[in-house]
Amino acid sequence: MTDLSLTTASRPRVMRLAVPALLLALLVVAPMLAYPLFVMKLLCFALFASAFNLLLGYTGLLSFGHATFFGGAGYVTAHAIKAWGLEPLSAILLGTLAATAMGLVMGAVAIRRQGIYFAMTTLALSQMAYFLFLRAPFTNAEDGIQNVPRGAALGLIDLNDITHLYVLVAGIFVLGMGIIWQVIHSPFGHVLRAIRENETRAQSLGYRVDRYKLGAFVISAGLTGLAGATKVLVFQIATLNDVSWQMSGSVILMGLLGGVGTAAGPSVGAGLIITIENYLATTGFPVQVILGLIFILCVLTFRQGIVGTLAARLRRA
Amino acid sequence: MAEFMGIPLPVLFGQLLIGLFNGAFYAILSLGLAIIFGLLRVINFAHGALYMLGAFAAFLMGEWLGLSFWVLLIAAPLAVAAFAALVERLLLSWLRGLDPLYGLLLTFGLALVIEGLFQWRFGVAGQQFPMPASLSGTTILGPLILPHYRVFVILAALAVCLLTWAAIERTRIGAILRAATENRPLAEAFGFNVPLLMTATYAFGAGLAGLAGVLAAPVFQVSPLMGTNLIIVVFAVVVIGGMGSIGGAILAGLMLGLAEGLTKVVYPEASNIIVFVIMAIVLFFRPAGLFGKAA
Amino acid sequence: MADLLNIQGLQGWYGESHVLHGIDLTVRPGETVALIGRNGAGKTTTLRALMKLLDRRAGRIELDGQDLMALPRHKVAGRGLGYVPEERGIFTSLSVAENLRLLPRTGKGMDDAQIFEFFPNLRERLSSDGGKLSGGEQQMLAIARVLRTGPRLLLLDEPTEGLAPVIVQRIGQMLRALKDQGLAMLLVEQNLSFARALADRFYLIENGRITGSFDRSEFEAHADRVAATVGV
Repeated sequence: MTDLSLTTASRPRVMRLAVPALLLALLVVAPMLAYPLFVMKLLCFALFASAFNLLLGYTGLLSFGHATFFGGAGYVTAHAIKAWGLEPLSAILLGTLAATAMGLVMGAVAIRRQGIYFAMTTLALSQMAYFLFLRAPFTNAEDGIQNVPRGAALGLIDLNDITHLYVLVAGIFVLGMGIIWQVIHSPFGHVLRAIRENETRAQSLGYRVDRYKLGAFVISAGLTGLAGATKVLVFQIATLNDVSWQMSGSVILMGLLGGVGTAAGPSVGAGLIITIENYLATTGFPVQVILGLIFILCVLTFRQGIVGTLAARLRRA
Repeated sequence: MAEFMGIPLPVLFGQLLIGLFNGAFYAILSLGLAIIFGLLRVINFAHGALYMLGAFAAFLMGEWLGLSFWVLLIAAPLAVAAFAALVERLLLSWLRGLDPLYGLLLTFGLALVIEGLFQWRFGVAGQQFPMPASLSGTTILGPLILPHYRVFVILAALAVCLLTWAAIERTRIGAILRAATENRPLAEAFGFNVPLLMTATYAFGAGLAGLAGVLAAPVFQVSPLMGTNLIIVVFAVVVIGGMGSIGGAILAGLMLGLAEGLTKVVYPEASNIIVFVIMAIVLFFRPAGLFGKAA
Repeated sequence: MADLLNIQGLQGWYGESHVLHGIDLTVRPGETVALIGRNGAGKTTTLRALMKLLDRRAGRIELDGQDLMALPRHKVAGRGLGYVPEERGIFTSLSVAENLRLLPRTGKGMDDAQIFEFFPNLRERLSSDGGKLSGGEQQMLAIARVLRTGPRLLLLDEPTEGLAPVIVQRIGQMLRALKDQGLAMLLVEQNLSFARALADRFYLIENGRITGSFDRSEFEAHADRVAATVGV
């Protein structure tokens, strides 16, 4: 199952410092260039797609059920704030922990099958979670949890102030991406890549492959939850849409379009998909047709994604 | 009134019949998925969309051409199969030799496009499809209430599954299909046009999905999204049955339909998720599936 | 006499790796030719290249003066190549009878009576699963099914591999009988004494190249080179 991924190229040292610096600068100026709410949505989805990519790009596991963690964390955070009056940061933490726990359960079942069956299993389990959320007493079924108050972080910083909120969301984004970066470059991450390249060989080298896979799955689920919980604070709503298979499909497309197995690819993919969705929302043409066409095009002609293809060009040049 | 464990018998039998009815659809659909996966190594995510296309083909051909149900039962699956043959030739054939995950993603994209276009054209509301008059009656046999159409669907599905199974296990073309499923390049080197066989196999599996769609049309409403949730349940059925055997796919489909029906009687709240719960349990104890060979 | 099989400058690739570097080889009508070399020298690959089972090929392959290179894979066998692949290639999901009768006929092949005269064991096993046969029975089935198609040239990939000596002897007798009936064969073999007893002409192959060829009468004179090539 190594075919979907791209080996990370070693880059010159300058690039290694320049890229993060550039990104930080971009984070600072972005809310001045576009609607801050839109930028925050982008950041949430970029983190979501990057967390998903930790699994597909760096471990070789295609999860078709990540919406469960994204939307599930959102429900927990929304409920904790609205019904229990929890402080927003704690609520985000709680949502993240809930997603981590869901990841542990789904992962423990799904890693018992490999490859294509893994994908189908995660999809089925995620659909089960969808029905559970639909029926659960606190999610209000089709209506969702609406008008979630943003509150004040630590009881001090008013998050209804859009600048405060932006700083918080950007901070969470940097934190999440930092964790992903650390995981990829840790010894743990190297084992994950060894599993991606050749699972049987990793096993014969003495690694308990299932534990590593489960570990990657849980981390990915937790970070996905972090993104989903944060999104609730931004949009003040938690809905069924975020736990649906369509959402799981969207995040796959973000990864695929941007470049699976590249650090920046999923963020680029998320940006493009979110922009396209926003644009099409005003035309009345069904978004999913366009998304489906992009899926088909990516799979047929563009399997390395935008960033993957660019990186390959640069290496050849 | 007669009861079994506190449940009135007519209710129990009624739900079992509905379970078997749903199981018939699972069986036809998972059979098609298994045949396609066997030869093409593609998990056909578009299977639900093809099922929907079958229902819509029947609905539209009925409206425009005034064809009878019995003609549609043949014509609509053929139309779906022809469409699928094009899909295989124009899209899927490009993915030969790649990771099977790409096939899943491509057909996922295809399902989004097909369902999106139909939603755009016809809206999400369902269209009514008339039940054939000759099958609209009901027979009451003691505690058994038998709506003719449902019984017909169950019998028709069983017949189609058995015929397909026999064709694969007992005929020469079936032997060629099994040989190519086992070793594609060698079968080709021995003189069989395997690319053509793959197109035909995809078309056949799609035709089965289309047939399921026609059979579903008079009972469920014909709507663009009728296949989306169904296909995920069928995926779970396939994971439970294991895709190693044709018989396993059929049997798992029927069994899970029954399990769903029973759940509706015992604990209705769980009937939506029972298949997924069973899948999780099976995976835990038999990762290769009930009828699958160990990977 | 014109060559039955004529291979010139045949090159072959598995994915990116270049494995055949220009094979020149001929088989005359009725002749048995053995291709000898060690593991990984390109023997099996040469046969696979003939059947178009490689990712990429270059060079010329002619059977009876007709080009085989341009044919699609499923048309190659139809020109009269009877391929007995490495490890037999029996389809385990098919019964013995199905395996035997699967391949399309390409010429005037043996009928069932002739097949069972040659391979009496197969008659009793017709309804078994292909995968349940012993190694020797599988080998006989693999040969029998191509004889049924009526090939002009038999391509045999290590027909004795992993078989008990008594079975090897039996297979040797069968191939000898086929040879006496005038069937041409290209034999890939590591078992030198088996090849020597059967073949009229020998080719040595090393690292994807033909490094020598000689007649049966010259085998003794080339014994040292053969030993060095095969590494015994």
